[in-house]
Amino acid sequence: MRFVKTLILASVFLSMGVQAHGMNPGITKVTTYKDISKMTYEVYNSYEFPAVYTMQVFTQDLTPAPESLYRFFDGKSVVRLKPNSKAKVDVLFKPEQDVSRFIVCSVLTGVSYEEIKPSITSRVCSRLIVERISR
Amino acid sequence: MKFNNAIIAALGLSFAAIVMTPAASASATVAGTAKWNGNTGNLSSMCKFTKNVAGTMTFDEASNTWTTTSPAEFHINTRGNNNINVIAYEKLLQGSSEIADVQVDYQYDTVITGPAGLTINLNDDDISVAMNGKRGKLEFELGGTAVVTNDDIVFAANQSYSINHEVTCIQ
Repeated sequence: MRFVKTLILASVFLSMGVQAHGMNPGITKVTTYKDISKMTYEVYNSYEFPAVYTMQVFTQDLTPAPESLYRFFDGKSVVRLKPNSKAKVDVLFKPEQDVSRFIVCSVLTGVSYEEIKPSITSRVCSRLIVERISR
Repeated sequence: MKFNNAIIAALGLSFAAIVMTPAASASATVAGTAKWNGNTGNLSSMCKFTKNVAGTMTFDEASNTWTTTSPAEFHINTRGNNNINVIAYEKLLQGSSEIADVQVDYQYDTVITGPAGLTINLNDDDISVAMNGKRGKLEFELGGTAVVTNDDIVFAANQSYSINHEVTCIQ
């Protein structure tokens, strides 16, 4: 006897209206004399529900970047956004090489005020190239 | 007398011209077009998730397999030389608890729609799309199967489970 269980996954996302998760800027190259570079990313939540976004920094091959190479300004790496709102996140980079490549991501880690983990985790990432030049 | 008639005729033509000119001008104004000219300016690369809807799946205990009955759907608006990756989190979850390992096969029932000229690799448990500089809307219907690798699990009736997927768009 064939026993079939049916599961309807809780649809935590609404499909009506304009919905979006995005981040600006896209790929960026910074050329600087400074040892520390500051980048500001704007994360926007155009979904019609509150969402939690967690910022992550990776190296070029998508392995987590060593914490010695970056830090979030004020230590703020989690952004809680109301529907149709946006927030800025400052990241400080201290690259060890003359040309360093990072991938900075905002990851949807929770939806609704209960911060339920989504079944599809959207991750928007921006490439960053920091070129340090000598005086 | 003929002279006078000629003068009157000439005056008549001139009058007609004077009368017609504003009429023609007014007509041009009515039929003319007004427009706003604009330019998008320098737009940078973009990754924007515009749809994100969970799918549904059913369980067949005989084969220990979950099969999607409606796919998870997500759309991405993209511009630039972007890369999109989908990775299955090969765990069967009950709430946030990991119940069992699963082996996901996207190839069974996944559809990807987007602009021409993309490089798409659709593998068992991961998908990669290189946009190759194309811009547009990328639509994923993420369907497939997930085989529970542990045969010893005895599921209770009417319990809800989920399998998560991570979608990354690198701009």
